[in-house]
Amino acid sequence: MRFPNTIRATAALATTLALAAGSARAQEGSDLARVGGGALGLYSGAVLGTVGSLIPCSQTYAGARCVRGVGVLGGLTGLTAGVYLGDLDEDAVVDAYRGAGYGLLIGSAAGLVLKEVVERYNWADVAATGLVGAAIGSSAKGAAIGLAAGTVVGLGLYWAIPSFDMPNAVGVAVMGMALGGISSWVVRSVEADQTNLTAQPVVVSYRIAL
Amino acid sequence: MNRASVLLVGFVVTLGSACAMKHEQVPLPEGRACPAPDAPEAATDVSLAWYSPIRSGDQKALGKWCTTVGPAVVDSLPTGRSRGWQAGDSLAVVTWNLHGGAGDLLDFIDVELGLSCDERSATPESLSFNFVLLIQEAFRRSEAVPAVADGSTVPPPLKEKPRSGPRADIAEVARRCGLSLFYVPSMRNGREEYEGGREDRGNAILSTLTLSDFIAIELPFEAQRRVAVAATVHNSRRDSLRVVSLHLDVASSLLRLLATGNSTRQRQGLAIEDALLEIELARAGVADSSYEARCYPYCSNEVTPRFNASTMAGGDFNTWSVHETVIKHFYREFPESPPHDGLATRGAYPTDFLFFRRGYEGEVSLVPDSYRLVEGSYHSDHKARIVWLR
Repeated sequence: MRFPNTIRATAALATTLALAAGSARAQEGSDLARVGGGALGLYSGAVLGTVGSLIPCSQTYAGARCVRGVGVLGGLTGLTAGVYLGDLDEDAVVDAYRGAGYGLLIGSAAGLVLKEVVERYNWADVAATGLVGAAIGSSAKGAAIGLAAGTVVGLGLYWAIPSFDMPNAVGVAVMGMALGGISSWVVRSVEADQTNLTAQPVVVSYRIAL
Repeated sequence: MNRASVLLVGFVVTLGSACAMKHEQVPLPEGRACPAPDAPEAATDVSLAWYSPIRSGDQKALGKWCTTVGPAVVDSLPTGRSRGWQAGDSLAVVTWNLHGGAGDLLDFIDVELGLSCDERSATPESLSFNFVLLIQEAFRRSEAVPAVADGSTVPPPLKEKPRSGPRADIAEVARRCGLSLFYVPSMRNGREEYEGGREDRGNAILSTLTLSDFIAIELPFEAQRRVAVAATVHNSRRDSLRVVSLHLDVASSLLRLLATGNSTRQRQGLAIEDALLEIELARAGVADSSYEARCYPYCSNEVTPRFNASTMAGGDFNTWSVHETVIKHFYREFPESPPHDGLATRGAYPTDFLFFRRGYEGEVSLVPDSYRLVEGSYHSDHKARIVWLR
């Protein structure tokens, strides 16, 4: 009956290795940049999808199954966007890893504080807080915008609808952060694509001038 | 998409599907000895049936916690001479989280149920009705609670606000009020001695009626050991009413929460439903627990099986919303449950519920509009809920 635990441990290890390998190799070439971008996008999207869906899904009949579904969807979105981004803009992937590193540090520090004030908050939870921080940090700008928008919407619903209680408002805010973070992967890959497209006419006109 | 990306897609899908943790329950034919089988205080509770999670990881963790608590208390006969649950009589069912010694259960029974538990005059026979109390976070002080070393399996004691009046443990309340008692400890109430005795805490059932068919259901391990307790009462027509007292975990660790998709209460709630299904099938002599077997021929609709005994399940679900997954599941499995009134029982949160389903035999039914919140908290951090049956 240890099968699921083994899979989880292997998955955690594989994610960590993929992150480390991607970070080290992102600058070496486009293939490796694609792998690095895909690994970080996968990780960030999966974690943000999971975190963002925790409260909304806890009010559905599917419950945890719903959370896992959103997590997989977020991971696949991040993976696709990350691979595309790595293909087009290696520097953007490096920036994302740098953000993940900062997020890991900030998250771990927050986890240490929580360990001191929250009962039964153990070292595994500190590590988990750091890993969530890394996922947010890799798409910090989008997550921040999403959190702000989600907070505004959540509070608005809280004041407007009596049956919409404060935990629901918090859920909307966190969901906004997750959506913003996942969207930022898509936005960055689209921006990289447009940058490449807009660069081509310049090259063409240069040749004509010659 | 290159090969590495395909592998990563496979990885994330596998990760998503691998984290579903089993909730199924199985009977433990040999029972469960708490504390450890070789401890001097140990006693296998042969008078009650045990159900435990099928997953070995759960059983291992539960076993560690089990070694720190004393044995269950089974006292099936009320010492007060209740006239029994006669045809047409009402039966009150209450669920209440006592928060250890904080909740004044003696005062509650006196004020809300009209039974004065004075040492010399506990007289359930004078009551015009009977009652069943489904209690959570009851504590028991006893020499049978073993001395243990410090460790993670010994939680700190509940933080109780001081109050006036005696701090009677659950066995003392049952004795003074002349009530039958079924108590199964889930965990220690701190490692140190309290007022000269070691304590454990867990769920209990108290009643003016005779209790029978004692069952302990160990829930899948999430954060702490939880044991739901079930017993049966009968009316004069021999209709059976199974009563269940349960308490779900608040939350597991952050890592577990993320890995399992916040399935803590959902998993424990489904485990109780599964155990109750197994119990009803076993009592009905049905060996096949397939869907077809359990549904035929007593399905009230396409998904809800009908069982011989009516069941009232109540407890502290630790939910922050009435729309939570576990509550949706219970409303589905207990289709005759009274509708929620939107009121909170702990702070701003609706944590405490009573659920009901009718058996296909017998005439036990809810008294319409009798489901309500008890206004006073009697020094506990939870308010009680009460409903009437007849």
